[in-house]
Amino acid sequence: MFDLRSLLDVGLAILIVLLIAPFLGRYMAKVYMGRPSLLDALLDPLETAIYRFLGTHPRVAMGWKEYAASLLVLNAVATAFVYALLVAQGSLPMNPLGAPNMSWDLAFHTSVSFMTNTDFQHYTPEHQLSMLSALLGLMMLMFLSAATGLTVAAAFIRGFVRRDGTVGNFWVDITRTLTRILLPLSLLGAFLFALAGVPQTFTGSITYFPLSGGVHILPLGPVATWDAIEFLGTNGGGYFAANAAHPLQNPSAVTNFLAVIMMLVIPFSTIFTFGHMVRRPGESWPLLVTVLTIFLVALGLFMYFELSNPFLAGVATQNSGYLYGAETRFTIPEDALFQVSSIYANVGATSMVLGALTPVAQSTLLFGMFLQSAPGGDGTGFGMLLIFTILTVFIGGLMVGRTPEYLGKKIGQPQIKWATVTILSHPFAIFVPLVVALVSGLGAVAAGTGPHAFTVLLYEFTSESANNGSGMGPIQDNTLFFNVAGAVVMLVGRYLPILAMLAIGGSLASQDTLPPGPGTLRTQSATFALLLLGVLLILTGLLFLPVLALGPLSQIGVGGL
Amino acid sequence: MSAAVSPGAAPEPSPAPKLDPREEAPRIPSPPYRRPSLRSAVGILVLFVLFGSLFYPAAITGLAGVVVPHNADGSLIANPNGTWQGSSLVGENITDPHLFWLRPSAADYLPFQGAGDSSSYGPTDPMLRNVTLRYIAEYGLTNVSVPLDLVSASASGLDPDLTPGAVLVQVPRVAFEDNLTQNWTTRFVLAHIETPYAGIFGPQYVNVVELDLALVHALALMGRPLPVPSGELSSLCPSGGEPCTAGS
Repeated sequence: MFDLRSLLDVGLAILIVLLIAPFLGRYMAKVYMGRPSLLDALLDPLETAIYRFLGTHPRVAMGWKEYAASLLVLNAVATAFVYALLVAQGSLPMNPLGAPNMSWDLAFHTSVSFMTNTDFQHYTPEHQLSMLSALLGLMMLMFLSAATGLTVAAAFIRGFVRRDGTVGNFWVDITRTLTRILLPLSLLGAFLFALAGVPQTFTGSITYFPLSGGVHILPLGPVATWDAIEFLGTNGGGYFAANAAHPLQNPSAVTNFLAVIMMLVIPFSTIFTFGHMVRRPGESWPLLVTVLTIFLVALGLFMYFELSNPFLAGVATQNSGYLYGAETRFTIPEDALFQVSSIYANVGATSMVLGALTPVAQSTLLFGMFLQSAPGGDGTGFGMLLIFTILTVFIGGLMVGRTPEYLGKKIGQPQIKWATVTILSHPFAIFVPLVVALVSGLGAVAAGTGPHAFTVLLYEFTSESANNGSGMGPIQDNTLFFNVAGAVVMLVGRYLPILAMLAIGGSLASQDTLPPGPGTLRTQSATFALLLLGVLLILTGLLFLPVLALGPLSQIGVGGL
Repeated sequence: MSAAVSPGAAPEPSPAPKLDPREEAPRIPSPPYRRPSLRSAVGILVLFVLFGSLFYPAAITGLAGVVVPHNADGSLIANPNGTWQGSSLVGENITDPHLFWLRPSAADYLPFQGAGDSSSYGPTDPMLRNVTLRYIAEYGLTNVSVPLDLVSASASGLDPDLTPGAVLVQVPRVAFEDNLTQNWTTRFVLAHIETPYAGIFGPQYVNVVELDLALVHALALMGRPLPVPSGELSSLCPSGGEPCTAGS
């Protein structure tokens, strides 16, 4: 058993997130609605200069196609820039530990991975990434991918209130997301991390002479700043390979606590941003209740099934919990909170080895990535939730036999078409490469055979399609197949839903708003929250339970589990 | 000027008159499509590099270097001769029988290796049991009940900590090797248990890197300095003069 006091830590972290979220959510709504805020005096002149530099006019709004095209062009330009950095890093400056140039396929996978908010790492940062690539390349992409996700959510939500076919100005949205949301929060977060013991230096490494003898190299760097945007941006790529398990990246239970708050705060706030932007703050509550229910149940399941591993009973005592592949400085509830937050908010940072988790704990994490929306990553997670909400409204509308409508906008064929494509694209992007890997034998080469190897492969592609980025080792995935297939899966898993969200937003913005009629489904109700919960769980379960049964769940019953 | 309105702050256009709004929502013509501007995209990239890659880390490095320099540098421990002995946050591959040992490590406690999760087995892999049993034998603890953390790899391969039970189970060996009483050694360990921060953050644990340093220091004070482990450290010690032990 663990120290029961650490349940207070868990409860406090969730409570703080829920206390911040309404205020941060309202502030974010102000940012996207262009309402005055405290930072105006400082930022208005700066942003005006930026818009002039960009050659855009802040009052010019775009239709969804132009918004999407601008987003894609920006993401493509940034990916190409980072790709060039990575393949040439060996001959560029700021490379204290002599990282070599990346191969083309590894650089492709890495640049796509960070641009798509996945941050799946097929490379080992300690000796395969220069500090220049880390700062100028990957850390920049961590800001950019999180900002991209949030602008998508803003544009999607605007579809419910606008009636002129426009969804906003992409260049303005992304600038304001950086200057008013991500940068201030990251500055605060990074400073807190440094206070709590995370290193922050431009020294690339030190040489040290430990008590145990020998001469070793300790890689260092601007870890606190990396950490803050890794978590706040729901990115999840580690400055070190061991990510949040590394004692320099997550040195104590206090930094663990801060990390959890940073991972959850923007995804939960976005739910409130939605209510304010559609000018019906009450609409946030059913969504929040649904997401929170799923999150807490997952947390409880994970925690319970990590208390011990019966398979190791009699071998060693597990008085402090099942610490195989975990770090001693965190309790089991703290590990559970970190891991469930990281996977359910599609961050993908790991504070423990996922491969050795018990089968139910593994299934819990996989289910979070199948859902993608409880609460999901910055912006896109809420977008997925809104897509599920639209489907729920549609199903609810069919039940009462009226034209479905949500917030005064009709939910019809174009919206449902895009929503269906999005939801089906996820299993498609996971299963096709999974089958290829299994049939070709490449999967067996990388991960071995048996139910656990199947789980590892399933986890790899699920994580990439969900833009999560955590990995369940051991797997030899820095190969041509896994790099290229993984990059394609990440691109599909990122941009197809983004296009769908913008398209739905655009199509809704081209409709007039209807007053509620007698057949309108009341969405501000517990019934609707329950219906949404059912749709989320049933749709996801139907799509994915078979593979869960083939992978982790098939190990239940082995050796007393 | 065909472009429609609305920055983030669009005033709501007044609702169009409707005959029966519930029949058919009138479709509004799409706004014109303009090709996305490459200049804007490159400009945003420059902006994110300036703010995200340069200003942000530089500002925090400057601030942290002034406010918490010890943390910012990586919580390093200095050797008496001015070199670094390591970081109190990072474990070491301690094999000296006179000292307390840490957990097995997939990375051999070499931070540059970047082990990641390369060490894991599935939850019901027979290797999980076999490896654990092998570690129990290697640690010479076959006759006692061993806490799992001592005989299982950590996630990072660099874990500097153990649960109190995993340290206490080593007391008989350390006491014997160092010619100390078990009673004294046990009290020494108990004095180094870290309690949860603010009562709720983290478990009770022992930082073994700091514990071993304190042990080396305590033995030196008793006039019984440990022989310096093999390795380059000995060559760095001043020849002659004081016994070369790590820690101050």
